[in-house]
This record gives sequence, C-alpha cells and structure tokens, in this order.
Amino acid sequence: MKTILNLVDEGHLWDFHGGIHPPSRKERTKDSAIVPIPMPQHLYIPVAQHVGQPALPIVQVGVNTRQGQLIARKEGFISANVIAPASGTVCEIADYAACHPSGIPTQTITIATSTEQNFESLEPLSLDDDNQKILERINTSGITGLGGASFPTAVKLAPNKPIEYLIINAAECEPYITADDALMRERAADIINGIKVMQKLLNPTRTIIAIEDNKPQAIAQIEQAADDSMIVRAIPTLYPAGGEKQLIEVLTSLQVPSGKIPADIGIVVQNIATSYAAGNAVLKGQPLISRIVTVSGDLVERPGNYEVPLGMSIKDLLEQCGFKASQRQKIIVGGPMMGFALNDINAPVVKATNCVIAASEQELPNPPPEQNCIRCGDCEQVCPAQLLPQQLQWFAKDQDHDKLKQHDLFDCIECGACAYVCPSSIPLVQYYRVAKAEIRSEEREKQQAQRAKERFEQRIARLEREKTEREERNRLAAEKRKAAMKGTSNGDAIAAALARVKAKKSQAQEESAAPNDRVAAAIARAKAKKAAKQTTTPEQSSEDENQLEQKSRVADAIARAKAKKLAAQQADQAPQSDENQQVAPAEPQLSPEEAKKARIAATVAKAKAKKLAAKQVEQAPQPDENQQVAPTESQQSTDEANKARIAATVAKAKAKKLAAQQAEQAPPHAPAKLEAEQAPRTPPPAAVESELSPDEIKKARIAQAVAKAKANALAKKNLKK
Amino acid sequence: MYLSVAPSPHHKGTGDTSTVMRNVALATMPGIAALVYFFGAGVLVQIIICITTAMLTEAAVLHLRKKDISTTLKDNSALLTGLLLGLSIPPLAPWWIGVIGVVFAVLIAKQLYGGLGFNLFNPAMVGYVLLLISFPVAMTNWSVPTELSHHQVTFSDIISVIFTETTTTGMTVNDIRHTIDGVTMATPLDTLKTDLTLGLTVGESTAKDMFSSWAGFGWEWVNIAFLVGGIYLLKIGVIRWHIPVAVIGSLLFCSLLGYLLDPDSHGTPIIHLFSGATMFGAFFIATDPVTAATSNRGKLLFGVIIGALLYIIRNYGGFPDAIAFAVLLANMTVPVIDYYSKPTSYGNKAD
Repeated sequence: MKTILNLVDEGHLWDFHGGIHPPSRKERTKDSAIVPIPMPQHLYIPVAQHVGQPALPIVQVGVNTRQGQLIARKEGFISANVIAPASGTVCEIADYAACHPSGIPTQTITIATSTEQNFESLEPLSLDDDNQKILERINTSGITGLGGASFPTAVKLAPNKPIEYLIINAAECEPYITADDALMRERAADIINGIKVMQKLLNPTRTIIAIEDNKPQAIAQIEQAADDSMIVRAIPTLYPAGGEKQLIEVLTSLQVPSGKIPADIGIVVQNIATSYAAGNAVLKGQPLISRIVTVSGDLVERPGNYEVPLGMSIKDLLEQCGFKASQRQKIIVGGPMMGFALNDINAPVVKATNCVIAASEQELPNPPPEQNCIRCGDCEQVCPAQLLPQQLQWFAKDQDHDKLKQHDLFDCIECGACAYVCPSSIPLVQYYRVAKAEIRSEEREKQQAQRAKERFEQRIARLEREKTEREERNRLAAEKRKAAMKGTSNGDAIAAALARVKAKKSQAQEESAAPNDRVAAAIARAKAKKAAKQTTTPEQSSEDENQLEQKSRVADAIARAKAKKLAAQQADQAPQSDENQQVAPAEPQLSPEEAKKARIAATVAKAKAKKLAAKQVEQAPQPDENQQVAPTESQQSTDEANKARIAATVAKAKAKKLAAQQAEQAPPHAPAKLEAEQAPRTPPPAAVESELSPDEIKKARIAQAVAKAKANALAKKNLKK
Repeated sequence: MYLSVAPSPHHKGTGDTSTVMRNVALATMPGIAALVYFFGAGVLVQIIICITTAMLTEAAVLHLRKKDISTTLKDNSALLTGLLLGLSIPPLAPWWIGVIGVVFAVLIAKQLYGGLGFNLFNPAMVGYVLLLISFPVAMTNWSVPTELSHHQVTFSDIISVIFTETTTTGMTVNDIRHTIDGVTMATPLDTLKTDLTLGLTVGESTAKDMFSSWAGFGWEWVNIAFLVGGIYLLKIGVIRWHIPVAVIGSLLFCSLLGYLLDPDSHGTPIIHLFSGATMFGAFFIATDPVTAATSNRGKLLFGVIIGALLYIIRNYGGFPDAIAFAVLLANMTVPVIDYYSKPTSYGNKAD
C-alpha cells in the first residue's frame, strides 16, 4: 500500500469538502508589477500588529528614529517586535484608529518621517549559522505571518515536534488579492532563500509550495527558482483552498484535529510572503518594514501591487493610487470574503494588510435584507469544515450553546462560503462570530463565578473559624476573671482592684532599685564605650577597659542623679500642693495604688542617691584610680575626662543635697532604709550581667526600662495633680 | 465620506429564495403541459384558483402578523404551495376544494408555524391530505384522459363544472368521467387497487384500456414530464440528487421485491414508478427543503423512508396513491434524522 508520502511525491492531490468559486476579480492587478510607494509624511505604527501581546514602546516622543530601528519590544512569548519603517521623529505615542474590524483605537507610535532615509540594516547571517541565532534574528526583525493572521513567525518555526511537511501557502484564494502573485513573479529567488531558511530551522521531510493554478506565471517563476528539496504544486482554484486546514487536506489528505494546530500532526504552514520577509531578515539583515499590498476596487484609478511602508495610513495609500471618493463606498482590508470593512479610513497598513479594496456599492453591494432560512442546505454543501451551517444558524438564533458546541461551531473557520451561497442572504458568519463570542464570555463568566464561589466559601470558613477562636478566647478570659474574683475575700471590684494594686506593689518592691540602676548603667556604659571607641586606637584596648569602667561609672552617676532630682522635685512639690506634710495622706484624691507608687518611686530614688553617695565617697579618696585614669585620658582627650569629672562632682553634690532633703522624709519609709542597705550589697551590674545570657540581659533591661518609664509617667501625673 | 460597513463576506452569490422558488415552479411546466394534454384545461383552472388563494391567504396572514407583505410574497413560496396543490387536485373538482385546501395549507400548515422555513410539514401535502380525508369523492374523481372520454368537454364546460358543478348542458363530473364504454374511470393505480381487492390479478387488471401502454394511459407521460422537470432542477442545482434518487430507488427496490415474490398481486416496478404522482412527489414534493432532512446522509434516509412508505401504503393501505402520506410521515422523522445524521466535520474524525 502506498503511504501518504508516496502519494504526495507522485503529485496526488486531495479534495476538501465544499468550496466555492466566487468571481476572482484579479484581472485588474494580476499583471501589474510591484511599485514602491513614496514615503508618506507620517507613519502610524500600532504596537499590536500581531496575534498575542502588544509590543512595548521603547522610544519616547521627540526622539529620532532610523529606518529599521526597534521601536517597540515584544512582550511575552507570543508577541512580535515592531520596527521603525522610516527615519524620522517620534511625534506622538497615543491611541489611534486601528486596522481592525472593531476600529477601536490602539496604542500607536506616530513617526514624522524625514526626507532622508537611513536604513539601519543588521549584519546578514548565513544558512551556516546556528538555528538559535537565526530564530533570534527572525524574532528581532519583527516577522509575523503576512498572510493575514499575523502570528509571530519565530514561534511557528520552533515547534516542539519533528516536522514532516513544511507547506508554503501561495494559494491566494481570495478574490481581488494578487500581492503574493506579484511577489512570486518578481522576487522568486528571495522567496526560495527564505524557504531555505525555514527548511534549515524545521528540517522537514518534504517542503511543498502550493500555488492555485490561476497563477501560471508565478508557478513558472517559482519552479525555476526552487531547488530539488522543494515540491511546487499547482492546486485547483477553489475558495478557500488557501485556508491553512484546507490546504493541508488538499496536499496531504490529513486533517488537523479539532482544537489542535498543524504542528501537532507534524505540519507547518507558512505564507509565501512570510518566507520572503524571513529570508530578507536572516540573509540580508533587513527587518520587516514594508510589505506588498494589492490596491484594487472600482474607486481607485491606478489599481496595482504596491510596496507600502508599514504604518502608512490607508487614506494616504488610496490617495497615491488615485482614489476617487463617492457618496457611499466600502473600504475593505483583506479580501472580500474574509476581510473587514474599515470604519476609519485613517487606519494604517499593518503587517497583515495584504489588500485594500475601495469599491462602490455597485461593485460590492450590501447584502439584501435577511430572509427566513429555507433549509435548502446550500451552505452545508459548500462548507469546507463540513459543518451544518443552517443548523448552527438556528442554534445561534436560539442561543442554544450546548447544541452549537455539539455541532462543532468552533471548527468554523469563518471563510464565508456559507453566507456567499445563502439564498436567504443570512449573514451566517456573523451569527457564528457572535455565538462564539457569547460562548467564550459565558465560559469566562463561569470560571469567574467558580472562582468567586470558592473565594466566598473560603471567606465564610475563615470568618467561622475566627468567630469560634474569638469565642474561645473570650470564654477563657471570662473563666480567668471568675477565678480571680473567687480568689478575693469579698467579690466586689474595688477589693479586686486593691488586691491587684497590692500585688503590684509587692512586685515593685521585689524589683529592687538595683536593676533600674543597671539599665541606666548599661546605657551609660554603652555611651561611654562609644565615646571611648571614637577616641581610642585598637592597641589601647586594655587601657580602654579601665577608662571605660571609669566613664561608665561617671555616666551612671549622672543618670541616677537626674532620676533622683526628678523624684526629689516631686517629693518637694507634693507637700506644697497640699497642706499636709505626709505625701500619701496628702493626696486623698489619688487612688491608693498611685499614691503608693509615687512613694515607692521616691524611696527608690532616695536609696539610689544614698548608694551613690556612699560609692562616690569611697571613690573620692582613691587617687590611684584617678591617677591611673587621668594619664590615659590625657593622652586621648582631657576634655572628656574633665567633663566626666565635673559631671561626677555635680552628681555627687546633687545626690548629697537630695540625700539631705530626703533624709528628713525618709524615716517613715522603712523600705527605703532597707533598699539603702541592700543597695551597696548589690553586685556590680557587670558581674550580674556576666552570669546571664545576652538575651536574658536584654529582656531584663527592657523590663526595667518599661518599669522606669511607668514610674516616671506616674510621677509626672502626680505632679500635675 | 461615507464608509459602508458590513460583516464579511462582502461578496455574495446570485441565488436568492425567490429565484429558487421560481425555478421550481418553472420546472413543473413539462408536467403541467402533460397534464393539460391528457386531462384538459381544468388543470390550469385549478392551478390558477390555488395560486390566487395562496397569495391572498399569505397576504392576509402577513397583514395580521404585521409583516411586510410585498417582500415576503416576492419569495414565491406561497405561489409554489398553491401551484403544487393545484397540480394535485382533480382537474374538474369544484372550486372550493382548492380554496379550502390552500387556505389550510398556507394558514395552518405554514403561517401558524411561523411562516416560511418554520413549518414542520409540507404545506401543499397537508392541504392535500385534509382534502382527501374530508372530501374523498371529489378528490378521487380524476378525469378520464380526454382521448378516452365519451364526451367532448369544452373549456366553458370545464369552467362551468368547476364553479357550478354541472356543465352548460347539465352534466355532472361523474357523467363526464364515463368512458366511451360507458364505464366510470378511475386512475390506473386506483383501478389496480380495486381490481386486486376484487380478486383479479395484476395481469388481468392491466389488460384494461387505461393500461393500454406500459404504465397507465397518460400517466406515464405525466411522470416522464415531471422527471424531465426534476432533472432540470438537478441540473441548475436547485435540488440535489439525494432525495429523488433515494425515493425512486427505494420504491424500485420495494416494488421489485414485491413483484418478484408475487407478481400476481403486486404491480410491476414500472407501474409504480410511472403511475400516479411518483415523479412529481420524488422531485417536487419530497425535495421541499424546509421539511426535508438537512445533511446529505439524512436526505438519503429521508428519501428511502418516503419510497418505502409509498409502496407500503399503495399496496397494503387504504389509498391507491400515497405521496402525501408518505411525505408527511417522513417529515415527522426529520428532527430525529437530523440529529443522528450530522456529518463528521473537519478535524473531528475519530481515529
């Protein structure tokens, strides 16, 4: 049995279902040579000229561009670069009429072209270069499918499966269009070079160039230029033989499975103009900046095949071709079967624009009003996807989405053959487009609804969880409170409060003044160390130790003194604000707790003062220490030493004064004595700290600092009162 | 500058509904000519009555439905319904037969379903069946071929019979139907059926005058004429081969089978194919696109069902001819056929 490959080699062709023979109307332009169009004053270059994500502009308004320069970079995998088709100045980056059926403006880079064009070509590569390098070049050059779909070419040329057939689509089955025909007639060698580039990238078993048999000159040119690795195949003229899927069936008998792409069955189809552009980009270093456009229709005086810079407005293009506007006209971009009617003539020529038709309503009349479908089934006979268009139409009108999917609506290629033959003038394709859009949006909504539902359910669960947690916390707290209430002799709140105050008081007493001192001392030490470091060199470290000790002590003293002064002031003022001598009774308005705290603070301060006094008395008669320190300090900074001494003296004086003042008040306060006695016995802060881990020390210090701050705040409060 | 915007495709073929309908009507011309030749100008009178009634009824309904009357009438579908029913009515039937049938066809069978394209049943055949059941005598009084008739019937006689039920000389339809032998004459299929029930063999029955030629006097030519018209329709692409071929093939198969098994009680395939309304039904009635199956496979099945039913009813049913019943019964099966005969579309072949 012969394999498909054998049959292909023998020149066997297959049929696709249906198809029509619309009047070709190619006579006007089929023999015209390619004419370059002069550069217009402005080019409008949309950043979205391809399937996939729009490119990102990388130029700003006002910058000068050179022809061939990158002006918008591809974004994401399926996207394409946009190249400046002309030298000039970027004069605007804004939304501008799009070359799209919707006509919705899209982001467009406007270039005011200069009179001199400097083409910035890239270094030509050769077929010996690395595949990756060639692909990168195709990417850089902004090449997309030029047959109409404008799919980024580099993506298609890097399939993840081995390729059996590379099909070059030169069918050009749409009426009017002769752009590919002209290209083949005039530039066959470059086309073949482009196909060689693609062959290198894909390494296909067979390369087939398919041309409809109504282009004998083109077939001859291509046959002459092609090498042995390429099969040139003339295929019967039948619309839509140039449809990708139909062409595959005609040439190989294979069908692309629904929902798959040709690469899935080992086939890549490239338009012939794309291979030309890719060849130029790789082998000549010319990025995609222009394309061949057929301009036709009864309203243009000079129909023909023009080489048009991308971005030229269709209005400018038509004017170059002698467009005579009439009262009503249709400007079709693409062919009459699948192209779209432009609703803004200022839209630019883009990569996918292969044809512009300016036709009067006599040449391309609007269809008569839609009549009822008589189920004649003509549409079904011509449908190249072998669908049941009339059934789809009924389902579409009923919005019966299930039936539409069941009848393979999404396999419709929108070729328009059904609408072309419909005796009732039903715009079938439009119904399918709308239905497809409805189904897509319905599915999107379904997905969104599903996501929203999940999110809602998760939220409900979270709220529920939080609620139970909160309730549990509240319950535990309530239990604790109840337990606490039961613990007190009488259950009332005042008693409880009193109990708490007492507890705090005893705690405060246990936390002796020493730790507070330690904090202050620590801070002071830190300061001293910092100061020492600023002045000492690393070799003097042993001396520094002593010096540090000294300094820290001094700072200690200052800090403590300040604290005491505050306490003293408080103690002084308290009696003034009140007639009574005693502090505690003198403030009946104060809660017992506050009063006690104040007293505690005072006591602590006094105790500190005494301790300090004692300490400093001891230090004073020790001249050796001072002598020891002094020389070192003098070596570094006499100023600091002096300051420290002065500060120490001041502190001492203050402490004495304070001690004297407080001595009068002290007797009623037993704890003060106790503390005063304890204070000297407290080991030096450094010693204590050395036994503790750094973490614990830190924690302790923080606790102390907080306690002090509270005490101060309270004291201040009391003062105000 | 005004830019006219329309969805693609921007180019449209030339066919339209009214042309399709007109072409079908034109294709009946050979058949009409044959009928007129064999059965007199009454055929034309019936056709005119029916078409007029159809157009008036359609216009009235469209008026009630607040639709544009002229554009819808121009689709020629009402004309065709009237024409097809007019062709089915005995040439000398009273005028109100046609009127009742057509009003019912257009009003009930077509417009009440929603108008052209929405009717489940072939309107002309619905009208025909209504008449056949309601007025069996008038509907079976087919004229005798003029050549065999005892009386020379003038055009004024025809008009008179149709509108007053008697000729200018006072004869009724039955009087006119007497042959030269003085025997009332029915259609060949009717005769055959009656004879068979009377115990005659097919051979004995077909020895009668009306079977003088190979398929029943006159009727064979009428069928050939409709066949010619049908081939014309096929040629210009208004209908496709699937339904007529399936109807004829199925009928041929059944009649051949019956004839081979028991030639005495089953008419020859030739009689079945070229008598009665076989060709008319196969090319002009069963192919009505609105009420036929849609896909090609479905159409074939639809035609086979019609052919088989036609033979079964002719042989074993109570009616000598059965195009109308066969087509209406097959119409009922269309939704199911359509559902199960969906072609495998591109890329959906199970491997």
